[in-house]
Amino acid sequence: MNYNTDDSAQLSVNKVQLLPGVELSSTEKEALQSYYDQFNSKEFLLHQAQGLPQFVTQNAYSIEEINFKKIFKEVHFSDIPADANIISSHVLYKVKVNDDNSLMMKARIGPHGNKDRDKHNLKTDFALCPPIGIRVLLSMANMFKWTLAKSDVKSAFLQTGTAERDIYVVPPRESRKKSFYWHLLTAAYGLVNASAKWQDHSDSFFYEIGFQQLPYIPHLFYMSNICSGPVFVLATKVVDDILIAGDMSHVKAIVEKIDARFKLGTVVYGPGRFIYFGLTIVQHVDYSIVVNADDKLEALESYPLDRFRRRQIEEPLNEIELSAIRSLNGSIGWIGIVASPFCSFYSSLLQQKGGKCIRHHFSG
Amino acid sequence: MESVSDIISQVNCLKVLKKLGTSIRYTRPSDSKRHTLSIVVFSDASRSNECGQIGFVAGLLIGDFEKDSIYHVLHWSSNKSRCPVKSIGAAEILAAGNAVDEAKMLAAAYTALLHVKIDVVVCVDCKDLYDSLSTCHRSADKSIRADVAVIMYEFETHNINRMIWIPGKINPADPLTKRDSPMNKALQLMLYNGLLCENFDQACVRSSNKVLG
Repeated sequence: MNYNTDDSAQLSVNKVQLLPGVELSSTEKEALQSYYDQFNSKEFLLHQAQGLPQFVTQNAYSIEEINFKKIFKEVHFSDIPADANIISSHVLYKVKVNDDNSLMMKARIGPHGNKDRDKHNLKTDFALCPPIGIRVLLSMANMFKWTLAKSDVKSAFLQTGTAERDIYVVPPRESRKKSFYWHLLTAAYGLVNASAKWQDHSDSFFYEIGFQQLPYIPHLFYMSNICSGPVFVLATKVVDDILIAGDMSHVKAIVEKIDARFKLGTVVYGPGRFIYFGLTIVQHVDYSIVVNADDKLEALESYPLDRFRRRQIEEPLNEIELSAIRSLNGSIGWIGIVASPFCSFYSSLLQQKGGKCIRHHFSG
Repeated sequence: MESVSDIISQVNCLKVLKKLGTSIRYTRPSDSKRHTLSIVVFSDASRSNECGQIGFVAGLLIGDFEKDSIYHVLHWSSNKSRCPVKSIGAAEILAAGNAVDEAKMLAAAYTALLHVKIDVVVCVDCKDLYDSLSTCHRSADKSIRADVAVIMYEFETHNINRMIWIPGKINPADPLTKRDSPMNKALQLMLYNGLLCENFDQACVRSSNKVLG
């Protein structure tokens, strides 16, 4: 870092000038906040860092490499068999918003699973709990005055047991060791079957601790008394995010069992506010529950049209406008599926109208 | 092909949606009495496009069709009908078919969780459908007689316990099939407070329908 007393000197893109008395961590926080205000949580590669100080991405990569080291063994490239399954990798960065609204730079090493030569022979599909399952859980939690708890499994795909195939990964360019490849000891993000493997692994763990899966709603798990009594705990799983509802004692016991097996991130208990499946869920002290996606809806912006372009009502759209309109339709559609019947209707309407729209179909 | 007017219509739709909001609230009845549970679905259809726009709202009713009963909204759908229909009545029958499928699934889920039999109630605002099921009247549109037969079968096997005819002006599924529906506020109230429309219980009693099942 440069201590530059000349105010008129220009700083290069990735160099940061520390002011006297200002710590590195607060500089990192400011840099993250400024980046998040501009680009939100959009993922990016290193060369797309848009002027973010280098130490921010380096720190994030170092933490990720330490975690990743648990799942591979370094092998000198001369020791790799001639017919080995070798895939390249890259690092994706993202500014993540924690439950306490603080920002954190996260790096994720992503092997290029699309270059896996066995990809066509693997099971790659996996199920998620649909929004109706989450709403059934919230309805039951409200009816029976259950406590909600939300947790996420840290680096879930890396906790799926030993690898069944030999895969060698070329380290990303951020890595300092250039003559070594990584022999994967377990599944990793980026492999085509990582999600399916995690699902099988986590589902079998849930069955082990006494959960059963409701056949009508995938990934809505319930636990009932041995003699087929009514249910006393419900849980939904969306990849690595778990939402549990039940009496506090039961919920804590389940969280402890999951924590003993998988490394959990922050566990949040109700009453309180959670972010789950992109929704904001608030459980109040009287056990009433409010769920909304207002922040997602407010963040949607339509494509800006200038006055001249607005007059060209019947003109076809160019590629950028077409991409923007379809992307926004998709976003409204997603909110329509998870949070709002009104968005569901308008999304259907916008997608149907398409090119048949004329000027006065919709009035403001 | 998409044109500039589509962006303008999207802008206007987004403004409307931001005013309506996305909150759903789950509350409990204020008293401590025991209440019956039933899965109630409302279905509706309109001719806003050549195939018909069909939609439904499904949820759990805690209590009977009374003023202070609580309704937990669990699922909804709004989409273009899968096939062109000759009349609005035919679109209503398709909408009711979708709603019945969803209601059966929810009732089975709750029955498995709670170990009690959960009734299924379907509310429609289509006289044609109601008459097709409650009288010997046959649907004029032959292409949807199979859909009517499926719904009749669900009645005969007691998968549906009741079908109630309600006036269109109190159907909460109305906003899912047309713009500027007068029921927008009522649906918002149902989503946020879990309360049925103000005159719902009176409309059910006042209407001349026979309760099927």
